[in-house]
Amino acid sequence: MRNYILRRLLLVPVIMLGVSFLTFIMFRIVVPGDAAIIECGFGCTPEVVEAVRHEKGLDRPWYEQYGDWLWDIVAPATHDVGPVPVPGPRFDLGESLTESELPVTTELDRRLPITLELLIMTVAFSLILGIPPGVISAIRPNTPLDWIARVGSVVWLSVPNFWLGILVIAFGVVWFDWTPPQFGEGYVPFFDDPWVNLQQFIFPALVLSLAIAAAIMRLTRSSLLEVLRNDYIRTAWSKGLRERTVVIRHALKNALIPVTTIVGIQIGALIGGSVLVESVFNLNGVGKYVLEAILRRDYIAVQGVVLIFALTYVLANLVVDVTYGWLDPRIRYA
Amino acid sequence: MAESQYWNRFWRRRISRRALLGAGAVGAAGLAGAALVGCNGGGNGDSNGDGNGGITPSASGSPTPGGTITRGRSINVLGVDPHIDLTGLDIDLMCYTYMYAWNRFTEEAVLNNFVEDMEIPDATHFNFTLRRGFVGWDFGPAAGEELNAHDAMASFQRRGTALTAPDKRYPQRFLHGAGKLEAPSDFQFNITLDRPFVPALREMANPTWAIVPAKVLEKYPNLSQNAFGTGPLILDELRGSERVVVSKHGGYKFAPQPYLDAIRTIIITENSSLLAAFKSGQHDICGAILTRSSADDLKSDGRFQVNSAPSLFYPVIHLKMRNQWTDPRVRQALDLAINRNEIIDTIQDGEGNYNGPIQWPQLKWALPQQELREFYPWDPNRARDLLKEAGYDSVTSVMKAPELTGPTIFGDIAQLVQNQVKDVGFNIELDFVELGAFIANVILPGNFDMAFFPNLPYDEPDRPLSFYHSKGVTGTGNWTNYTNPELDKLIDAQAEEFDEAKRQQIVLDAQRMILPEHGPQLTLTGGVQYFAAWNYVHLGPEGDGLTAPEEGAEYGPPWTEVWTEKK
Repeated sequence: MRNYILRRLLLVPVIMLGVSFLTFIMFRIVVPGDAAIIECGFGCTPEVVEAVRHEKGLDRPWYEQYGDWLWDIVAPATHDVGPVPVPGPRFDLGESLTESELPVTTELDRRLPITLELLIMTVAFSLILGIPPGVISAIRPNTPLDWIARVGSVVWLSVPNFWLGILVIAFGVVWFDWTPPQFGEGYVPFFDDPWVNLQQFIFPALVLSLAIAAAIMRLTRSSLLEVLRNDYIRTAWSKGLRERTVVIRHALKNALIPVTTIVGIQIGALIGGSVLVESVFNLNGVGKYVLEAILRRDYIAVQGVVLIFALTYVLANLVVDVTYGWLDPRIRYA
Repeated sequence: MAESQYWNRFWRRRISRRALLGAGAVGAAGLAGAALVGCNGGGNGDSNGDGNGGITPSASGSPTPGGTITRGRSINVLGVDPHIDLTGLDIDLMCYTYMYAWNRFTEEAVLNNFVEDMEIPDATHFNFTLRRGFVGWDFGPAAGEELNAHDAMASFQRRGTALTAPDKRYPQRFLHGAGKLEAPSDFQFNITLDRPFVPALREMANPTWAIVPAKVLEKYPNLSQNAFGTGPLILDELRGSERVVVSKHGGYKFAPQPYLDAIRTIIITENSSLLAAFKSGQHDICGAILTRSSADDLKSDGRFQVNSAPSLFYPVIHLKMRNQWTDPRVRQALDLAINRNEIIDTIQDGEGNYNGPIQWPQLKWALPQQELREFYPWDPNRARDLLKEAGYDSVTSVMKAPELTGPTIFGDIAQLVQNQVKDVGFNIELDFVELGAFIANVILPGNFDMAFFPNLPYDEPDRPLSFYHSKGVTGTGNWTNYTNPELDKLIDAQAEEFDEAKRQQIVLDAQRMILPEHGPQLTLTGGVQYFAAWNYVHLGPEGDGLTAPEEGAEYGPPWTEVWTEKK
């Protein structure tokens, strides 16, 4: 297991290199637009655009731009994370190409906690709202509870989350004259005021989690139904074990393997979904940042964020793979 | 339009929607919402349920210092460099000192800021006597130092030569030839233009002409994320996509103003969320773009003050002068195929008028409404005949339009026009392009056959007319390849004609020359814009900027006289 994890971790830099290169190339070759022109605005002559491009270093060969950007990330540096400086990569993701010229790392420092909190709460809600109904639906098939869970899951899968977000906000205003606190004061960290923080995140996380919860519910149901037909489950019943023991201890653990896979895959979808939900709920996380960066052709910011997203996705799936072994000890890592 | 229509219906029919939605679709969220807000006194804005935002109105109505105002905003503040960045101009107005204000209703300079007195001996000389006592904030390179004429000169120089400044028509006149800037003494600032420019006085009151201390400009070439001003409010926090917070400058020249302790600007790019934040009381001043129905809804709620004024924004179709568009009969056919009344009725909520080359709210300069309505009849039969005369059974073209966030009104108009002209034989494919790509790949290189976008809300005839000038609106180029030397002469002449009656005639003549050309710009109709705030917000004698201040009203620089009853 340790070797497997080590091997996977060693692959991370290679994946990151590939991701960063593809992002870089796509933005320069495939996506139209130019940060210099956008900064100039309507009144710019080609000469002025060229001057701005030169000022921002956008007129250099692409490999030079890419090389410099990469070097700033991996160049050796020491970090003051404790009493003793710790060596490591510099991890300088560059400065935004917009007139703000803010370091991307600074922006990420501020925004990443928001997106991470949203993602963690979303995954938690997805599991809470997905697994129990899936289990109930499987052990009580073709009962009203099963029908409610199945119809509910279809509804949640069909409703776009940004639309649901708008409805939630409308509900709050029309019924309670209430909108989430971030509409008036911005983000409040959990440790500053847990209650306000909860009010900020509960609705976006719920909205984002419903579709995933629905998928988890349906997968849990089908997977558990299949497991419940296995011989070893029949043996457990014949031993006279209680239903709770048979379902929870013997069946559910095995049924959760495909569910775990789905959760891992959904991390990517969640990152995409967070872009919209953060915009609707005015959460200034990484999703909103990358959306704005794309619109302004801020390549440097986009590259940095994509790198972080890719890292999150890769690590989340590593955790998922490791979880398989815990769920089913028969699984061995080569 | 989908969103705006939806919201219109939603606000009108909220009871039935409530019943419908309460049935289930967002049950989980609704329950959680009830649990959360139930413990919060039932809302953000009116916790004591008196319908007045939880405040007691001042009996006298006279300004009382203190309090903070929160205002919504739909566009990110990318930077606050007043000479360069256009997205933070409202913040710049709070932080910097300006020469004077401009009352666009009376078309007069209001000497309420740095300029104490002005002398204009002729059309090219502007001599300003400056007011003493504008001192820098307590920090930064010019902390506590008095603003003077050298600072004004440095600022004008910087603004005039800024690489990305939006307009070069005015600064070109003092930077070149016989034009010059002079500071004969610490509080005397003179500007000489190399040739007259009628809008010059107005230009200098524009928020991009802030006076920044010269020492600040020397030390900080980029003021995008910093401000070291002498204005009424100090920049405390700038997070351009989240919030901007400014607080009272205790040493401001006109103390005890500003009355407010702080102004918080919250940026929410989603229009419906912005409106919700206002209605729930989280924002004291509405930042959402309001439609007539949403404004009516607010008006019917006694807690809000709502004002409206004709909008100077106007949608236009640009035609590239090539292929079929070089034939005036084809351009005229397109013009006749557009049903402008339908645009007013269906999209502008019945509130709107026809625009000529100059927007209709510029009453002094625009062509009479009757003349425009007669000139732009909706006549599909005549349009078909003209197309046939020009040798076309149908015309196929692509109209590029920017994909704008927030309100969808411009996209809606583009789609409506597309449908209207289809009946006549114009098969227009509508291509919505992301704004950045639109500017970069469509407008600037002139890479379009047809382009659709809203022009900025110019309140003066020079810039709207310049769209038809060979050198274009910015004085640096024309996107449509349209040239008309006779028209150029008229446009140049009006920019230098100080006799208002004569200028008016030239402007009208120029427009009457443009109309029969049916291009390169087809102007569509203009609607109404709204302002809304909670009743406890008092905007001072200057008002909200949409409606004229009371005659003879004296007022200070922006934001200095705003006060709130909510402390």
